[in-house]
Amino acid sequence: MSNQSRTRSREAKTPILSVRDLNVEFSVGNSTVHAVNGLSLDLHKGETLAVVGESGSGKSVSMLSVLGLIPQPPGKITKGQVLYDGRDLRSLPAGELRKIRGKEISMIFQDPMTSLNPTMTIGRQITEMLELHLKMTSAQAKNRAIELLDLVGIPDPANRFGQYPIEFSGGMRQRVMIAIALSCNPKILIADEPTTALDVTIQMQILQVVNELRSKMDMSVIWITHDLGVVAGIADRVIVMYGGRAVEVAEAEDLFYKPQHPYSVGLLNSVPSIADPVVDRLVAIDGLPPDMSQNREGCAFHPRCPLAREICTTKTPELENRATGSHAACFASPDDVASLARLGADQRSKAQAG
Amino acid sequence: MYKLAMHRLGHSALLIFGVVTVIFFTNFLLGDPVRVMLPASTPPEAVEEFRRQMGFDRPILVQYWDFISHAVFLDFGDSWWQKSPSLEIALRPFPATLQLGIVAVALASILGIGIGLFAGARPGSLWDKLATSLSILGVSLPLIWFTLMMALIFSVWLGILPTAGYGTAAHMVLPVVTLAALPLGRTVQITRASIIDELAKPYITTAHSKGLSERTIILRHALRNALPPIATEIGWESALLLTGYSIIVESVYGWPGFGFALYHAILTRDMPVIIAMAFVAAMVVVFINVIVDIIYVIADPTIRKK
Amino acid sequence: MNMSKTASTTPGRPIRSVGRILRFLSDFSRDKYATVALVVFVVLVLSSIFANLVAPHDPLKLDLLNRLAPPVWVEGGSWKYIFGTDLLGRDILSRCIYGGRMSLGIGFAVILIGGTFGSLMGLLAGYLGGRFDAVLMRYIDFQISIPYFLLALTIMAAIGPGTKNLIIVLSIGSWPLFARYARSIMMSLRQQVFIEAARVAGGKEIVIMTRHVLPNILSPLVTLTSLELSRIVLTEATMSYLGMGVRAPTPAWGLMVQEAHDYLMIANWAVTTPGVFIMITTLSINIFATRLRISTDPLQRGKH
Repeated sequence: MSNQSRTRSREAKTPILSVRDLNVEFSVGNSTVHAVNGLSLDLHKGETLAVVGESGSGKSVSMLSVLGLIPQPPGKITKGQVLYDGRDLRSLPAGELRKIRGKEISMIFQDPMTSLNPTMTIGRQITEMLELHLKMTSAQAKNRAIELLDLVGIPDPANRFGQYPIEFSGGMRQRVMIAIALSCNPKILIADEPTTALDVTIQMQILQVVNELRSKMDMSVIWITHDLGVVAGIADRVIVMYGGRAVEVAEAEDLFYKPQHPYSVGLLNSVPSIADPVVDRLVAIDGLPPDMSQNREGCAFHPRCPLAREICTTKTPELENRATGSHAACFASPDDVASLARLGADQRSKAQAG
Repeated sequence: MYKLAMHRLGHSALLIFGVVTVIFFTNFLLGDPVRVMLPASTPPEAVEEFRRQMGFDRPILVQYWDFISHAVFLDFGDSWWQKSPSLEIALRPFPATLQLGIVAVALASILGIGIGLFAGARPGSLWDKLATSLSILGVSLPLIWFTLMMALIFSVWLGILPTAGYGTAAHMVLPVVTLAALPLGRTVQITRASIIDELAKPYITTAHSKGLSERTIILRHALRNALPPIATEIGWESALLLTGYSIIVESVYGWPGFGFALYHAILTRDMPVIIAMAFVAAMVVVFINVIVDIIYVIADPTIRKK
Repeated sequence: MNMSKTASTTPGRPIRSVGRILRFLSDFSRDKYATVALVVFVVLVLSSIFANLVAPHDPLKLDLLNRLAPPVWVEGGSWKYIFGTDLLGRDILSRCIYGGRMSLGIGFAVILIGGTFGSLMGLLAGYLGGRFDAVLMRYIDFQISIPYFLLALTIMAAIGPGTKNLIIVLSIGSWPLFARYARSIMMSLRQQVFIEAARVAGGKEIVIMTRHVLPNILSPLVTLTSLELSRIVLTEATMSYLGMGVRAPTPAWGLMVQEAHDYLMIANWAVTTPGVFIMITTLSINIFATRLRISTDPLQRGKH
């Protein structure tokens, strides 16, 4: 009940970021990879939206495309709109888009080891943002940068200011990345798997830092991940991507307890459950991720789907409203998906028992 | 840092010692100094007498020891033909070559890095194709021919530049341009390749996500990281230019430089002078290596911390 | 047992490498500059090999009545001597064709000696590692930092000019590059999974080397070889020009430029023509090598 009312109240508001029918291709030699195929999503003010999927599902590419950050060529955004603040970022002149990058919408990346410039002090990597977007003097920028380093939990920030990335550990570098990204009080933070390359304990710390700062700074966050544990930890809403499309959009709790797409079910089964954290056998999704260089007919998941039918091989399902308030792109009936989910849960508990 | 510097110093000393030794042995083992110094018609007894007098009859290692024990005090002996210390003869023409070298290397570096950056920032563009073609042309130019053609066109046909000589800025134009052509081509190629490599790295995506302009990203972020291979290349070209590569240019344009003097010493088989010049050349190489090392440290300040 | 069988037979392999060659050729032929460059270079090589059939005159034959005859397109020129004659009335075109025999012959000889020796040393160093590798690399570092021109000129002056000596000196200058290159490739290949896989599968070392390593080494080595060839042609011309290489009256491009140097102002064709021959040779090699790097390096694909 409360879920539905929350959803309704959000739908009434206009989203802060809205992606419509985004298509992204990569051309390598003679073959074209369709990385993103008609992705649409809304991000609301103050929420954390998780974008979930396996490697190659198009989750990173689509979010990089929001800010026009995919290398072009070989990449190309062939279709779609990215609406921010009433403007389509795709049709903005380069100079205008640069004023949004870093200032309104910031990013942090997967590998903190290579995402920082190795030959520039971390202080300078922060102050150049402040000087560019907020027109600070270098003295002001330095003070602010030290505050920011303190804010993201870096000890002894005044001394750390003049050091190089090589002098920081992985977790500390990711904190520096966060300080850079948040330096200009952006409205949106896009986090591209920022915890994947880190130790589990460090992951938790980074999640906490972002979560705290999100409420403190009143940001919206898009968190790209393949880790459902992360989703459980921070997300309000989740988009599950497969084959360059959104296959399910749901409130985070709903996704875990009432998944509406067979792929979401598969994902949940293949992850240590939050309910039973001590599982020693996981169930893998059969088959391989789709070959994105082929523009195949039908639902991209059908070769691996236990519920696949005739229609799945010829038609591509659209996202539809399900009874629970979630949206899913699947021809299977909600009941079938629900029983598939139950089956998975049974198998898991059996595996645990045996 | 200190350890690194000491290591470099030892390496440099070894290099200078090695070069001088190699040149000594090539000269004294592969050629007979007495035959060089005396006319072919000299009677054999006189040749042997002369050999004894000069000490060339001693075992080669003894001669080498004799030579090296003087050389450490910068005494390379007198020239065989001009009765003055050979180090003096080796050093005298050096400033003239240094003039050419500095201007040519500066020209090649500034233009080369600039063009290379432009080309590498937009691989496949018209600019890039033009730059790549020009750089291929530069590295394909036969210097012996190019030098003569430049003289023919600008001095003889157009008459706007002096044919040969030394002294004024106008005299420098042709030698500098011809000497700069090949290093320019190579610098463009290396810069382009290096900047393309850098621009593909993740920290560049970060820089874009910060809203920096492409210009700032290339000049402030990428260039510094792309610098080491470029510095190595320019250092190598400078060493080549200052240690004899300028022979052709200097002889065609009548520039009284190091290359010209080296050629003369080699033609007259003036071995003490050749060895002294090898010493000077090795010093130049060492000096350039130091400069390249300094550029490395500037480009990557973290070396200091290692 | 089962695994080693599949590893040593690898039925798919020949087909794949044929496919690779075909793709390379089709990539290459699409590039008109590279194709033209390759054709020009092949023509130069063939005309050098068959110089006695192609050249219109004997390159050594004097025609004292037609000394310094201008080329056909200049007033006073005739079709008899298309590119004119030199101071002794020798046909410049024929001398240039025979000159190619010297220049390219020396180039290939140096590549053969220096390249083979260097590559072998480099492969060995990369494969064996250890002390052999350390000593070899230390020596190469040393030799590369010696001013090569100085060394080459000194040795040539000491042992005397001549084609054979020039080949020796140029080979000494050339092999360290090949050694370094071959070693670096060997080192990176050693890390790669498929060699590890072949080793785990029980493949013999020599089989691993020839079947898996060699094909991967070939294309970068061809690039290096082309660039070296161009450099050697230029150095040979310079050395001959300085009187430290090929000796008169043998026709060689660098020597021809030197011989005609003094009367540049009255007969520039005698300098221009051999110079253009050198330039065409180095240009065609360099264009070919630049494009080769693109079409064999998958990461560079699509950038052009």
